[in-house]
Amino acid sequence: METEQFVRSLAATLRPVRRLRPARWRAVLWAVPAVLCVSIGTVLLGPRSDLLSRAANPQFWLQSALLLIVFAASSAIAFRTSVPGSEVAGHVRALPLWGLLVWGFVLAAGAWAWESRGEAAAGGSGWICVSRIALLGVVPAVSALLMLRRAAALRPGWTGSIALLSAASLAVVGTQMVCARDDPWHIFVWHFLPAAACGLAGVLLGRRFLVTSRSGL
Amino acid sequence: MCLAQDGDARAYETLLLEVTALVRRFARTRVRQPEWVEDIVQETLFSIHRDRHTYDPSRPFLPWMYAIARHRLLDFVVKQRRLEEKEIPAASGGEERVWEDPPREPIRLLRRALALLSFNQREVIRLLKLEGFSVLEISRRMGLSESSVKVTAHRGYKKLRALLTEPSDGD
Repeated sequence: METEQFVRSLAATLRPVRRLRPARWRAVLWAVPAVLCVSIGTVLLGPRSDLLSRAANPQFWLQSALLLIVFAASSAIAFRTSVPGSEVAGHVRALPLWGLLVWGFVLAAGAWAWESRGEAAAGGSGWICVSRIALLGVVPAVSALLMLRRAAALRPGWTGSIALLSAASLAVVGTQMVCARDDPWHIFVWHFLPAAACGLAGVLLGRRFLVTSRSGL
Repeated sequence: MCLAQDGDARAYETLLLEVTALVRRFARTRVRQPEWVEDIVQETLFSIHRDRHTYDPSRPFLPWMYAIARHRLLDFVVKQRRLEEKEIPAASGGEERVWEDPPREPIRLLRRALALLSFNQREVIRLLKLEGFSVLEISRRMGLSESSVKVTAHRGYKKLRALLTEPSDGD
């Protein structure tokens, strides 16, 4: 089939389409219900009893602020990268990853300070925190992927990764308000690593889920 | 493109013909194999057709179009390189090569024909034949009745058959 004939065939099968809303609007349309969903989930799971006193701790606020920045930046970037021609530069695309790394650094510094004070980390498994993150993050993650699937991500792995990182960081903020443990090692292993793992899983899910929607062949 | 998004086929054809010239020039300056150029142009045109709903009229058209063209070109080159890597030299030591994959030409024709099916027909055929889903699973997944899935698949096959058997000017 010659290209000009192909063009005529495409034009002959043309149907009106519903335009995708601008990326910033779609990001807001996703982020606001996601925050509501995680807030409701956090209340249902039961916030820690000492949350108010804990809120006075700068370490707690610094971590929460970092996570919220990662959430906001990655949601904006994920929706922008899902539209051809609106993609951001490589260093801007990597901003959420830098945010995650800074959070890891803050936790490592906290762990060092914790150990230098001679405080022993409480043992025990933190699988309950992993399940909380999964529970709080599943709806935002699935809804983000469904919304991104409507678009046309040219880098589906990257877009999937950033989208899941966004959902995971929001879920971790909720989990930090429920989990009663403060030792940085616990937060590093059972909060930070699962969030990072979500980002990695997002690469695979994006390549699978966001490409399938576009291939059509 | 705004007119095309609203369903104006004439404006769309004019636009695609202009895009064809731009993408052809874009591809010619970036790939050494001239036989790849038309494939890249058609891949780009199909992507533009499929993703036309993502174009935002408040933004310029060319960056949107070239972003698609650049990625289709990269995808195509990577795919071709992989195909070349899969070539196995013939055991006889002759110059002939044996392909592990089926020849490209029929696949290309099939992809072009599939592109001309409706979204539902393409999805049903893809899920049935490539993903291996049952009619029941597809009906649940797509929110159609089982009989609708069967009818859609049947119409898709019929249209595919017609498209693949119609005489072509050569490609």
